[in-house]
Amino acid sequence: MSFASVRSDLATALTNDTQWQTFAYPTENPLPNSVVILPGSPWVQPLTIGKKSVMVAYVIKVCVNTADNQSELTKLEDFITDIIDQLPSWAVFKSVSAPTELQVGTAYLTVSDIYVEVAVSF
Amino acid sequence: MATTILNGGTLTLTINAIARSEQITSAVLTVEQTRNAYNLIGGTKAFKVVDNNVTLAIEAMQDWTSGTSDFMDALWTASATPDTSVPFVLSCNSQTFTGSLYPEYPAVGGAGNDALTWSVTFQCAGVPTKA
Repeated sequence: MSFASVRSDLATALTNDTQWQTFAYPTENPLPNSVVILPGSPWVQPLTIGKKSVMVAYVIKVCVNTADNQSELTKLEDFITDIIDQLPSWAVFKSVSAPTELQVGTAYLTVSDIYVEVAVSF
Repeated sequence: MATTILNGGTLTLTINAIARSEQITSAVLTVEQTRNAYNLIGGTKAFKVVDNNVTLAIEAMQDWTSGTSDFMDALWTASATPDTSVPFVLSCNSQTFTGSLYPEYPAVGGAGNDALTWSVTFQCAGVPTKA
């Protein structure tokens, strides 16, 4: 797997058009019911001898509306469960952040970050 | 003399003529000498090395995926004849250490919250040659 293809490969694996939109890059304006693949931090760390592979961190940002706390939190929980289930075997699932509120213009989104790591060979 | 440091990026490891650096996160070749001490008359001591024990310790990521080219699969197969050594070449900053090791069955599995890894210390057949 190449470094340049990981985000799109992750996005392809996490596609679920009936539930959310999936983006392999940061969108100009975050959208409700979307999943966005972002670089994590530290982004790239050494992994193997010989500089053959590195471990690359990614954040999968899950965005839902904030209109109704109860239903949107349930939706967020469902999305997170589905995303973890859809993660490919080559992605190491690390953790999920507690939901936070994200202001976009005058609107608000409820977002959670799913942290994953992927080994990438050169 | 200028200070020299090396990092793990200068290491490469080939086992049974197949490059395995992509799967290996650590590799350490150790030669341990057994040195006997003899107390001589007159109060002096003499030392004599009577044996060498060579080991190659590695930490690797499990790759049970694509069949016989896998590192884990190759080790599993080789371990069916555990008394037959297989060649290895460990390179460190252009210095090469060529020897042979006895295969070990790899582990299967690990923790659910991390990448599957495996650590092993291979017994080597003798002191590797350095070139």
